[in-house]
Amino acid sequence: MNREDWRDRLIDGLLREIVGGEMPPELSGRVLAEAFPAARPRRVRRAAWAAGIAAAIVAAVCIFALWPRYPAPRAQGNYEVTEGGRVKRGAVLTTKVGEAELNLGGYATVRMTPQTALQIEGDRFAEAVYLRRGEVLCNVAQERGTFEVRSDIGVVSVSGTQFSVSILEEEGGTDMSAKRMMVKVMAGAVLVAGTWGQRALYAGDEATVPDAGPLAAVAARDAAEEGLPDGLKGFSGQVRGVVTAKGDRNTFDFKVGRLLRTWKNNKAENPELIVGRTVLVAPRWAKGEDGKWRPVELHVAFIRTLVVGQELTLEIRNPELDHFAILELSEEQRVMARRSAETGASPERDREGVRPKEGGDRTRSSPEREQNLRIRNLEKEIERLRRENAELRRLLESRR
Amino acid sequence: MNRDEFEAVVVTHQAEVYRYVRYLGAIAATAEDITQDTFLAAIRRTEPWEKLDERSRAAWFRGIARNLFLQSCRKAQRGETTVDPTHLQDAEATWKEEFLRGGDGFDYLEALRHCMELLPERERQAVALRYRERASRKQMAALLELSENGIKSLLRRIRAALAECVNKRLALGDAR
Repeated sequence: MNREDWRDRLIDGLLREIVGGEMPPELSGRVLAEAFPAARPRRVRRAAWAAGIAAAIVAAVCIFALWPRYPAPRAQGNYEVTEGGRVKRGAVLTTKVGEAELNLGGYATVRMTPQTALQIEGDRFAEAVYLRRGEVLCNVAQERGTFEVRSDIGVVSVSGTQFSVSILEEEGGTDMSAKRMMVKVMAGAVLVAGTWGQRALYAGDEATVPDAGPLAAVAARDAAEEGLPDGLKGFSGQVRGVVTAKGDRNTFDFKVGRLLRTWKNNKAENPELIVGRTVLVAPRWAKGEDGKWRPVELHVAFIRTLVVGQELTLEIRNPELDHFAILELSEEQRVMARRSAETGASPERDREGVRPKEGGDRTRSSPEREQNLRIRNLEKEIERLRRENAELRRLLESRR
Repeated sequence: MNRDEFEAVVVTHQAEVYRYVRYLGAIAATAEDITQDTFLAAIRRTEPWEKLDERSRAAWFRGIARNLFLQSCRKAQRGETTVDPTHLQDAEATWKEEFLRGGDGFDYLEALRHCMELLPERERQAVALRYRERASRKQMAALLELSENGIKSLLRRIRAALAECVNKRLALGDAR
């Protein structure tokens, strides 16, 4: 090997380091351990080993004993367990003149008022009680697990809130139809569902089901809010909230929890007014090739995918009157909408369809229209794949 | 020399000793062992090497490392070494005169980084494939549409060009 060869090898090694990341290792620890070994007599070393092993065993036993386990149901106060036995899943607890408090999973506290009977149901991190009679006040910690109050009338599902549920019985009535359930929400939100339908309730809401009266009152209160204040007229922005109800003409009620941003074309003087308000959202309308105005099909398809209680981010604007229209869908929402349009994968599809403007000359069930929609979606998908492919090629080229 | 002083010495010189042993031709695992043994040998020596200045001390460590490398070659070849000790003189000269240049090699590394940015696209691709992707000559030949010998020549030309660029750059720096 001559000097040229060594120079070549030098550059080769440095390139391995600079480009390949083959850095010189950190060896000082190893060298020092060898150079300065801890000098201890063998007997002492053996004793140290024995002590170490013993300590490890003790630590393992302690960890096993103290490791947090999922808590079993616990109750305190004036209660009885029907048919004796202890408080456990499946047990029926009743209160007579006093109150009792039941703790489930360490995250759900159920206060039983006098004359209440419930059965402990559910599972780990999915706690539930079956309310037979009386009233319970529930406090559920957030992000620990789900909780449900079940009854003959329906189910109240929550994941972090304070609420109460009472069974109301008509005098002398033992028939199920004579029972109703009253739900009051103190904090957070709950979803009340039963054979009569479903509805999301929020802090301050109170409803009795299946009687539509109080629910209608909630709806009426929301409806009353629909009259937009002047400061909100011309709103255009991005909001986050919950779908509270589905309309019958590709619309939905949307309770806004947060205002994320406003767009440049926002004309609302006080856009913050939208927070806490339930607004009616509809698809945007666009002029078709035939010059007729129709709701944007992708928006309609997207609205069909929505379910009550769903939380989402939306870009909306108030074009006129008191309702809001979808501005743009996110990429994920567009994909959902396309899937819904192509496969009909929507819980609402059978009930709701694309309803063209009155007098429209095409119907949703038209095979020609379905086919056109499918072809357009396929073309878009092919275009997207082409773009991805080109991007991948560019990446590959740059790596080479 | 106490533990702390020795630790400081190891931390200062370990990278250069390791690089040097790799440069001589040792694989990574052998280079690690030889680097470790170099410092252990140093602390067991009776010579007052602590009194040497940093540059002389580095040269002394390289001497130990070179001998350990030769020993490891002899062991690997059952008593016969494939490394000609006279060649190692050239190795030491190249290392000292071109890489260290009276310093610790930092300038050379920096200049090399700069020169790599000046490489044409195709050469840069070849360097990335060989050193970053660790592609074999066969793989590179398929990707760059060259023969395996062509790849070998290409890489050698690139390294020669880089060495020349570094030399020019460092010479300019020295002139300034």
